[in-house]
Amino acid sequence: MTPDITNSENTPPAAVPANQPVLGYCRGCGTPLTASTVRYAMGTMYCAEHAPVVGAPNPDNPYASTPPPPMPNIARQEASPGLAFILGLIPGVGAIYNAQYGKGLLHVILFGLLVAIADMETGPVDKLFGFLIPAFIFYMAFEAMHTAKRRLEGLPVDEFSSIVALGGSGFPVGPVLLIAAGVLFLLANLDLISIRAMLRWWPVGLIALGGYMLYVRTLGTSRGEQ
Amino acid sequence: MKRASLIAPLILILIGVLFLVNNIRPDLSVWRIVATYWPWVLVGWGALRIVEILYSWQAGHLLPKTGVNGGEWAFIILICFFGAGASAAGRVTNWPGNLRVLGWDMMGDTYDFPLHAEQSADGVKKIVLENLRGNARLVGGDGTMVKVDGRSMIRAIDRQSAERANQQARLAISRQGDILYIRTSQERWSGRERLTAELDIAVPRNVAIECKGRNGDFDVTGVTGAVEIDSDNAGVRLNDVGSARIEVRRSDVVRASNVKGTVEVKGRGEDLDLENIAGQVTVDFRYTGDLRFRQLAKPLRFRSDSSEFSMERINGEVRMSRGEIDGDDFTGPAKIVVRSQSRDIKLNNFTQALEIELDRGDIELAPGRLPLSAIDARTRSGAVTVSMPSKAAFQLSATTKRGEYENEFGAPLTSDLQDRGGVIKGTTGAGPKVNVSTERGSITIRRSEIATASTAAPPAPPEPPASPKLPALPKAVDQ
Amino acid sequence: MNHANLLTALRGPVLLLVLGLLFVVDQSGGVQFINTWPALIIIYGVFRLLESLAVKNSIGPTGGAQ
Repeated sequence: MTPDITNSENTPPAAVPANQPVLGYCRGCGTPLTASTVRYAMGTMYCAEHAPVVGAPNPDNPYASTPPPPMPNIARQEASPGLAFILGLIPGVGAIYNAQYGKGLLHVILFGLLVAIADMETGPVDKLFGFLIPAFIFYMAFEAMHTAKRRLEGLPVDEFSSIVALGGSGFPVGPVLLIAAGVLFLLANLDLISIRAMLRWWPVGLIALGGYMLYVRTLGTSRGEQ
Repeated sequence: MKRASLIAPLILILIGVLFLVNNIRPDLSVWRIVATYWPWVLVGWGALRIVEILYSWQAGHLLPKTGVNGGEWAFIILICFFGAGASAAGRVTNWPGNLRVLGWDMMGDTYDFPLHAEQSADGVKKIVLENLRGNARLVGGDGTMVKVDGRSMIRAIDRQSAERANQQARLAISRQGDILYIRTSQERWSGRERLTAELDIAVPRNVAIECKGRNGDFDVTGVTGAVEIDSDNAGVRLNDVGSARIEVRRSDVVRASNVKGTVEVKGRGEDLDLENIAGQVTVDFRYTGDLRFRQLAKPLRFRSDSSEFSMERINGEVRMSRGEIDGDDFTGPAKIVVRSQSRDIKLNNFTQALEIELDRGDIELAPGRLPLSAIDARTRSGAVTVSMPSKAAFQLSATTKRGEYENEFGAPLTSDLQDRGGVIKGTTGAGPKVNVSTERGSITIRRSEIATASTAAPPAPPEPPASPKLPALPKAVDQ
Repeated sequence: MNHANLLTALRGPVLLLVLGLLFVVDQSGGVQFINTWPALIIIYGVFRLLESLAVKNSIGPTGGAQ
């Protein structure tokens, strides 16, 4: 998990320049920031003191590339990729080994769901879910191993590293998917819709995914390099 | 300056208060309250955290990265499991007053007091036992006395209160007409202690028994009258009784063997075992374990939450678990219906009509005896395998709407593609109709060779030769 | 003020509170928890949505006045 790059307890807030609107507050010390004092880094506001060293976007040349933000100085954590791989074969345990508890729980739930769906009879899709299970097991193992490797090298690792990096277009795909899934399950539980009947239309999901990718990529080419 | 959350100390205090109240006032069912209201702990926890975070935000302090951290979620999940388990248990039973951790009493002490009472039961037709909490064993024997031996276990905070409780709640045998009442008076005790009794009762053989309890096993042996058991939570074991009527809200095992009359079982439990019952058997029972019916001379009618079946007679054994039904050597007309749940059915060595209706599960039939009778077996999803005797006469029709079909029987049965499945049919002779079908699954017709022994009853054993006259034995002495 | 932080911090306790309420409803004979649990997923998703909106509102020189 990314640690806070702050030490707000000790720094007193700076005075606010008069007559300028307050745009926000420094993430590090809480100082009110105006247009003249604000510094942006990685999408967050900081005051001059606390902003990590980063090339601010150049208003004259938006196409100039900014140097990447420096890697936060995390001590290398003790992690064995080999052990992570083995533990990762057990649903959830790989993530727990890497201290990603939320992800561990998610893995367990996903695994359970896969087994449950594989047990239901949904037609030819049975075999697909049958294959998904060993695939998921190996995914968990390798994912745990890679995360452990990153931790070993002192790289930052966030809670849900590498779970579905969609949303590149700025649209919050993740949350929307979650909400949609939640609504679907709720309606199914209250017997208002039937998941079994809906699963027959699973290829639509593939088509939708393809369509979405098309959309994102054509958008990318029409806007040019971002 | 950021203050650590108040939650941890509050929860600690709450746990302490709960245990303390349970110790001081054992009569208040603290655990029942916990089992019902535990979710409010989560609600309060969440609300308090929300307030703390809002306060923190408003005062300009640094907000925590996650309002509830990983370790706390683990604890919360633990609470949910135990809470849900506790309330599920509490709904069914009278929540036990004392908490047993690996057999060791965690609160208060248990004091034992011996129990003894006896009374003549001359002319008594029925004995009623009202044992609120505890196990009781009744054994029928010769003689006309009713003898109760046992002990009363009283959980109290000190010996004095235990003794006071024991004085007031005495074991009492009273008689009203031809009914004898054995009471432990636990319900009359309104004090703060918990009473449990263990009873060993000797009764005359020719009486009827009625047992009422909240929590405790009943064991009845050797009684020629009717036995009636009614309990919230009891393991029931009856052997060699006249007839049985058992109603339990919860049970680990219900067993009745060698019953000369009818058996009726109602309620919910885990296992059920009926063996050698001479009368009709009626079961309306939700079960989570295994059922076993052996040697039932008269019809059996069984009903559970998702299945029902009936049979005329079981000479062998019919076993039911949550996943399958296994029947060997029984007589129909028999009908088995299982709805929504998945169950595999395997039946062999049966006669008379058979009807099966399954939603999900495989069917495997091997009618072992001739002549055959009509069979109508249907499953929506599962494989059907039937082994037909080669010398039998029948008209077979086996269809699958989607699946493979295999005719191992051969001529005169033929198989044909049909829809996305197939059909095997044919007639070997003038005989009953055998119709099996599955909507999704394979069908296989096998050929079995059996000796063409007739199903007529075996000839009566020859009359034993008249025994020579023996000198009269001396009259047996009463034990 | 960066609301995203507040939302992230509040997410856990709100989920906890809702979890407790779902069990209360289950206990008192209403809809069972085994049917209502997706509500937690929905709320989690809503929070993530709000957080990403809050972050978007505070990025950029002209955004994020409140």
